[in-house]
Amino acid sequence: MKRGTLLVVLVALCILGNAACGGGSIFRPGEKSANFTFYAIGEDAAAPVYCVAGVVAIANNASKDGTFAVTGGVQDYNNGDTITSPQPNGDAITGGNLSVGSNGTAVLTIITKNPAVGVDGTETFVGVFPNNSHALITQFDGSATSSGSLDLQTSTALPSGSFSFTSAGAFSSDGETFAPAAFGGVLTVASGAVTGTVDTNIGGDVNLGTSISGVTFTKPNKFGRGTVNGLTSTHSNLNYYVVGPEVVRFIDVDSATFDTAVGSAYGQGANPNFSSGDLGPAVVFSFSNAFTGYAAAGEFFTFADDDVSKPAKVPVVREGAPACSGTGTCLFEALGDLNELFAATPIQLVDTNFEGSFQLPANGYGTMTFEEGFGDTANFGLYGVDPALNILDPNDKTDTTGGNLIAEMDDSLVGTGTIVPQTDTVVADFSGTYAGGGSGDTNEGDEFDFLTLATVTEPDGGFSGPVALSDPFGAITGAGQETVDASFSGNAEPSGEAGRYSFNPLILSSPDFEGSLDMTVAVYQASASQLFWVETDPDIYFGGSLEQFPGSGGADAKKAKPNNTKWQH
Amino acid sequence: MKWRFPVLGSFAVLALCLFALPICAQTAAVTAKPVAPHRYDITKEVTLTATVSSVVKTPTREMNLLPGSHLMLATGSGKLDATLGKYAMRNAGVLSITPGQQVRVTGVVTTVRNQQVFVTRLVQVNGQTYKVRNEHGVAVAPVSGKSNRSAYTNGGQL
Repeated sequence: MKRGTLLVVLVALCILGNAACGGGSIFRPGEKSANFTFYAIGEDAAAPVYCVAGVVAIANNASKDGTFAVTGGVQDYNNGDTITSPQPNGDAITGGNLSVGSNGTAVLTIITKNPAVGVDGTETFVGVFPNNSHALITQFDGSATSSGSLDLQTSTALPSGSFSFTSAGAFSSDGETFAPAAFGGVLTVASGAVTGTVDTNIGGDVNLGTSISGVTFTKPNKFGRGTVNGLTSTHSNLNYYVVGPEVVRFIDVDSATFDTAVGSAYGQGANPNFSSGDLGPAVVFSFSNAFTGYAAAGEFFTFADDDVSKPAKVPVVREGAPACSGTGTCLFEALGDLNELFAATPIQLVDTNFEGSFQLPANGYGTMTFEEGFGDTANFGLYGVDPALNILDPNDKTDTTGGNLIAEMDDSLVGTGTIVPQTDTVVADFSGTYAGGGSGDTNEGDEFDFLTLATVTEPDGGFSGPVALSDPFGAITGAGQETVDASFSGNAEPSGEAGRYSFNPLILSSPDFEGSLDMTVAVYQASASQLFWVETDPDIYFGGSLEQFPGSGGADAKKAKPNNTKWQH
Repeated sequence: MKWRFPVLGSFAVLALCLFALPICAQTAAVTAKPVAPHRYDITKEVTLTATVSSVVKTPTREMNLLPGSHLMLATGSGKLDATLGKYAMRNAGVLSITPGQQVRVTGVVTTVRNQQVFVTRLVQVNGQTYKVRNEHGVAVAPVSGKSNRSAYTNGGQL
C-alpha cells in the first residue's frame, strides 16, 4: 500500500473507530452531538411492509463504555395496518446508543416512547459506515427486517427549490388487501408552497402526470421534521425529515387508512435545465421492490435516435453511434440481470441484452421504456437529480454524483430504483473495502436483509467479509434469526460486457446455521465507489448496493489487510 | 440458491427436506435468453371447482414448484397446481384450507418452466372469497389490524 493510501485508511479507521483510537468526537467536532436522519423499509411481524423515518441525535464523544449515547430525536413508524406512530408528534426518541467498531460496523439502539415498535419500544439496527457521515442500516431486533440509510443531518431548514422524488410502500385501495405502491415525480418548493407532478403505481393501477398543487410544507422543528399538508388524495398525511439542503426523506403517517410508504427527494440543482444527454454515454441501473418480490440491475449505453438501423446486440454499442443530446428521445442498448421471483409468472434473466429509449426534458420529469426482452419490465418514470448529488450517500459529493431516480409504472410490476453514471469499469478498481447491503426474499415468502463489510482483492476478484443477516421470519434460515456471525466468500469475476461481474457462486455461511448457501449474483460497476448487485436464482433474490470505503481501493488493495473479519461494535 | 452441507450432515439434509423446511428450496436452470412478457391477462380468466388434494405452504426443492403457497387440485381433467403467490398463507389462519375441501378458484392457466400452473386470483372456500392477487396478477396481502372487521374474507364485496 502506498504511504498516502495507508494514511487515508488509518485516518478513516480512527474516525470510525472510537475503540481503536481511544475515543474523541467523531461526527461533528466541536459540538455535543450530531443529528442523523434515517429511514428504512421492510417487513415487520404484522404487515408485509413497514416504513420508518426519523432523526436521531448522537453524542459526539464516547461514553465510558466506548459507545456514543443517543441523546434525543423523533421518528415515525408505519406498517399501514397495526402500528402507526401517533401524530402529530411521532415517537419521541429518549435514549439508546451507537456502538461503532474500528472497521465501521455498528449497532444502533434507539429507545422510543412507543411500546408498539421494536421490542417494547426499543429498536435495534445494525449498520456499516463507509465514512463518518453515512451508514447502511438494517433493523435487527427480531420485530422487523428492513434496509435503509443513516445520514448526517446538515440542515434543519425548510426545503426550498426543485426536487425529484420517489417512494415505495404498500397501499390498500379497497381497505381489504395491501398492494405494492410506487411513486415518482418532480416538485418545487417555494416558501413552503409545493407544486409539481407525480406518477403513481398502486398494485399495477398506473396514473401518470398528476399535478401537485395546494400542498404546503410546514416549517420543520429542531430535528428537521415537518408535515406535508394539503394532499388531496385519501392517502394524504406525510411527514418529512431534512437530511440537507437538497435531500429530504418522506414518510406516510396515515392512521385512518391502510397505507405506508417512505421515500426521498433529491435536489435538481439551483437552475434545473436537464436534457436526455445528461444521462451520459453509460449508466448503471438498479430497481427492486420487496413487496412485489423482484429486483434488477444492469447497465446501458446511450446514443441518439438518428433513424439509423439499430445496432447489433453484440457488441452492445454500435461503433460510431452518435451521442445522445437534447431533450428528445434517445436510445440505449442494455445489459441486465433480473429476478421476478414473485411475479405472476416468475422469471430469472442473467446477462441479458435488451433495448430501450428515454427522454429527459428540462424540468427533469422524464420517461424510460424497456423494449421487450427484460421480463415484464417496460415503463418507468425518470426523474433527474442534481449532477452534484450522490444519491446513495448524499453527504459525499466526491464521486458517483448525479443520476436519476426511477419508478416502475407497469401494471404487473411495482418498484423504484436509481440510475447513476457509469464512469469506471476498470476491473482493478473494484477493490478495497466495501459496505454492502441487500434486501430480498425466498420462495418462503418473507423478507430478509443483510449488511456486509466486504474486502475485494484483485486480480482474482476475491470477495469476503462478515455479514449481518436479518432473517427474523425464516426466509433463509427456516427458523428465523439475526446473526452478525455470517460471512460471504466468493469471487467477483468479470463477465459479459465491461462493468459486469458474476459470482458463481457467492457463498453465505454462518456458524449459526448448518451448511452454506450458494447464490448466483451479478454485480454492475458504476465506479470504483458504487456498484449494484442482484441475485438471480429461481428460489431466492436480493437487490442492493456496494459502497467503497474511501481510500481503501486501487491497485494496491490486494495488499491491504483491513480489520474486517468480524462484525465489531 | 443451493445449500451445501458438510458430508456428515447428509442425514440432516434428508431430514430437513422431508420435513419441508424452506432451506431446501428448488433449483432450476436459469433462463438466459430474453423471454416474452407473461403478464396476467384477466380476459383469459376461468373459474373452476375442484377438490384440494394437498396444500403446500412453502415448496421444497424436490417439488419444483413456483415460489409461494399452492393448492394441489384434483379436477375432472386431472391434477392442477394452483399457485397462490406470496401472501395467501403468510399468517396462520388467514387462508386455512385442508385437503379434501372443495374450493372454487378463479385465475389464468399458463405454462411456467414447462409446467402448467393455475395462477390464482380468487379462492372461494366455506362461503368466503379470498383475494390473493389483484386484477393485474399482482400478489396482495390481507389487511389485518386496526379494525375488528374481517375484510379479507367478505367475499361478497370482491
